[in-house]
Amino acid sequence: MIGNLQDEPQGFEFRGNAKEWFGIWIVNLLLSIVTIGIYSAWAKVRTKKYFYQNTYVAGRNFDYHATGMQILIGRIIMIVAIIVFSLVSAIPLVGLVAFLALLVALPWLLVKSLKFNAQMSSWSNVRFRFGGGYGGAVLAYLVYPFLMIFTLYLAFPFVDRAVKRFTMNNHSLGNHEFHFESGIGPFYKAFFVALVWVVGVTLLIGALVYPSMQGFDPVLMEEDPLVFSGLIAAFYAWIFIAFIPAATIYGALVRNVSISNLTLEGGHRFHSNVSAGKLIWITITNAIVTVLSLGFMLPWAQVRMTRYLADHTAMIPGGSLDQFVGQIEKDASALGDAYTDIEGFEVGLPV
Amino acid sequence: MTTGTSYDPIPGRAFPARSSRQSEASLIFETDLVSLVEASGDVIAACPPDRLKWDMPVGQAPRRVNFPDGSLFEAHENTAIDAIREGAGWNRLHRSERFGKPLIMVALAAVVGAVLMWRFALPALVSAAVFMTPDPMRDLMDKGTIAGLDRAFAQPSKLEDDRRAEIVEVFERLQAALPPEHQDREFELLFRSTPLIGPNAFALPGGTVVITDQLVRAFKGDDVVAGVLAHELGHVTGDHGLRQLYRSLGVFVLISLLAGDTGPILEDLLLEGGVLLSLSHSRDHERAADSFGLSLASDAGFEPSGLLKFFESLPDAEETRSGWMSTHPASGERTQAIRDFLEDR
Repeated sequence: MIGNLQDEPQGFEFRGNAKEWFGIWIVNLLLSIVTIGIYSAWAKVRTKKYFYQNTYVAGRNFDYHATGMQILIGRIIMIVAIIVFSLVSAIPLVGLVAFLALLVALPWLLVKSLKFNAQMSSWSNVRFRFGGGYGGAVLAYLVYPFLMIFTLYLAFPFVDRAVKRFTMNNHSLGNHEFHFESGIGPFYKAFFVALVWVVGVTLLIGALVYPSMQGFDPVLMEEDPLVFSGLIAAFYAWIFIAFIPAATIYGALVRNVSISNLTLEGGHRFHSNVSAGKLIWITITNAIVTVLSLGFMLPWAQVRMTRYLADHTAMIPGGSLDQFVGQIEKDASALGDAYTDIEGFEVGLPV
Repeated sequence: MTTGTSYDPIPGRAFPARSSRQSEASLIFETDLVSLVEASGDVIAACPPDRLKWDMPVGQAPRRVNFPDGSLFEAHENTAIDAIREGAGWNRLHRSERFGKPLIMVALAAVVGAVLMWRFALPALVSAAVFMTPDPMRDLMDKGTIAGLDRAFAQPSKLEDDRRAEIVEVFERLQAALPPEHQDREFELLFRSTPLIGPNAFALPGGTVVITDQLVRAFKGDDVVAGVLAHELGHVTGDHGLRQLYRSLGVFVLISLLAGDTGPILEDLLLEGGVLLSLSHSRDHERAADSFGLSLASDAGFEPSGLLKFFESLPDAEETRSGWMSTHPASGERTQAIRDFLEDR
């Protein structure tokens, strides 16, 4: 059962199902509402546990270990900080200082969040670890993105690879380090395909809208609110049709490259082969079904997406999986985690 | 579980503390002792039952329990383990999560709860936050906004001193007529010239009210100016500016914490939807300021039809298109409400 896994790809497997997750989700929601958001900290723990404990590789599952109280304390501190920040932002000089303070704190919060999430996640009874530092985060999240502006965003793939290097190379499973390295070519290929989609869709919409714009009088827009809202709707449609699929295409192609170029000390490799078209299909149909069901099919949509991603991810063990050993560490604080939760940053395991 | 009760051995797998080395093992219950025993008979760990750290049950995922030394036992024998853990809090919660008819009640309760939270809990939280906002903070916010305004497009007022004095007097008469509970608040009236945005007036959280030369010049007499200033005092005493700030913050935080991971499209929809719903709230504030302002103007001895005159003049004046109108939409419903007030008097 143990020694003969070598070089045999072990697919990720999600064993949860929509019905069961619906029950947990709706009870989470009710209790969170009844407690005006306080229970949402425990809801987060149950959610993470459900998805982690039901995800298996090579017959071993993940787990999440944070307690609701840890998450709650992080969230309370963060909410107070956000309120003070938004009040202070209105004051001229002080507002500027607050903004600079946020810039300084941002990489620190992201590193905290990565550390907390890694330390609270385990696979096969061994905790993950994140060893990245403040300097690396400043480069990846502030300096490179700032410099990218001067390249008219054409250097985006370089910045994205730098972020992937920072997050993936600094993770380890117990005493075994992850390593990621990739040429820039595949990142530019993904960027180019996404760009082609945006330009193609824009030209297509332009070709459809242009004839009806002939003889368009800008005064009409002032007179007739319908014309104005029509234009706004067309603008939103353009954003949705051009950019959301483009982001999905880029995300899918880069996920395949990143995970397929990821190794874990001990000769373990990984593989991902998600299809951009299939992901777009799932994203859009998930959104439609969720909206039409007034949100009640959201658990189904989440399970569907998780299962698809798991089914197209694999680990190729290079040896025994029994040799990982975790380290004893002080508990990290949940402050950064609360920040990334509220601001909607995606950090954590690239699974 | 109670000590001394005995259960059948539970088969599963064991991991030593912090290690991924897995082995087949059983959890064996004896009087006052629970031990983790490998197939070979080796005992990995043992402790009294009450020192076991049971993990909360989640769905049908395998149940987990840690021994004090950190070794982990994991088993798919969920029925057997849940029977042992029957009284525990998380186990009761876990039972309520089971898919079935009772969940319909939970779903209904969640919908009702969400509506109640939107209608009552959120406004209560907002009121608490407004109450806790210190006065110096409000003053600083006012100063900041005015400084920003002066940098962006406001110029010093070019009103004649007599006219200005008249309007200050109007403002003071209105203040004197305020209901007793608002008498201890401090107000300040500022004059600015804003050729770009035309006739306008607005109120800030700390009690600063700004009126533009363009508005003062557009109307003869004091009744219209009094009507508009009374309306703005309504915004100040109702703390409408702070309320909207806290409300949008609260909606943002609650949606991001409650919704969890919804995916890219839905997340945008939810947050934009929250903002749109808050717009209807700002219309409520306008109506509240209207009725407050009408009574105040009337109490201070002005002709309350001034506000109505102001609204009615707006559509004709071309230059006002982007001014007061955009933030103070004069719907038919709103002017009708003012007319009703004037008739009831």
